Amino acid sequence: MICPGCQRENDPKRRYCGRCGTNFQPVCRRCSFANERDDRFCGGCGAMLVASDGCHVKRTEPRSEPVQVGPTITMVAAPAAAAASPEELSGLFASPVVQIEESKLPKTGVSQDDLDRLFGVAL
Amino acid sequence: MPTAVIVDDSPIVRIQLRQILTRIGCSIVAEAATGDEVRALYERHRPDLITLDIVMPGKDGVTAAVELLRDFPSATVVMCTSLTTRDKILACQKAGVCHYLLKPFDPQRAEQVFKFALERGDTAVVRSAP
Repeated sequence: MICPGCQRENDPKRRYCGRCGTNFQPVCRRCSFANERDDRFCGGCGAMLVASDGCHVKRTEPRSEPVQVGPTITMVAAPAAAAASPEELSGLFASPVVQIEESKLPKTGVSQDDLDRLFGVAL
Repeated sequence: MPTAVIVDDSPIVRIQLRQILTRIGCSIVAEAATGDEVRALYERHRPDLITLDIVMPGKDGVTAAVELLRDFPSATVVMCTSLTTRDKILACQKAGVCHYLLKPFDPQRAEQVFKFALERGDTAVVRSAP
């Protein structure tokens, strides 16, 4: 794996970079929960983990194991009594799920819209 | 009632932010003009929201945010600044700042951002509860 800090190639079993000491176990910036390397969402608070947390580090070897997509989910209509209110849905989807990569932030002329996207705010 | 701390060296901006935050139902528990006071104010008041300017006398807002969020990751910080330097913005994002509001800001946009920040702070508390 490539260290996100110094770009050195490390053995995938390593927890810290051999050159710069970067911790490969992604720690949530919000709640400090130590997540697994492949986690996309924090196990402690549910926040989306980003590359700077140490997750999604680039692998140098091809993935050999089959990719588990997840169980088949059968969609059924929810009973009317259990339907979520618009307020509940709006709160659910207000989470910062839309993030742009750092490289997409303009080098000059940053606008409020750019910042809204970067910080995952859907206004 | 949610509480907020305003940190900005401009008295005019502090008044503006106070008006906006009061309008959305926030109680302003403290104000400061330098980044040096941020940690002490947070420890004393434990506000639901902190607004931070960047260019201030003493400790700058980015340093104050990084230090605060390192020690208190659940703090909700919104930067309010006219600075659009890429490095500063990314440093804030990496530190865990909730949002970055550009001055001069539209009051309605600012209200939306602060409401979002307060809701997000609430959600984080609920989600992290055992």
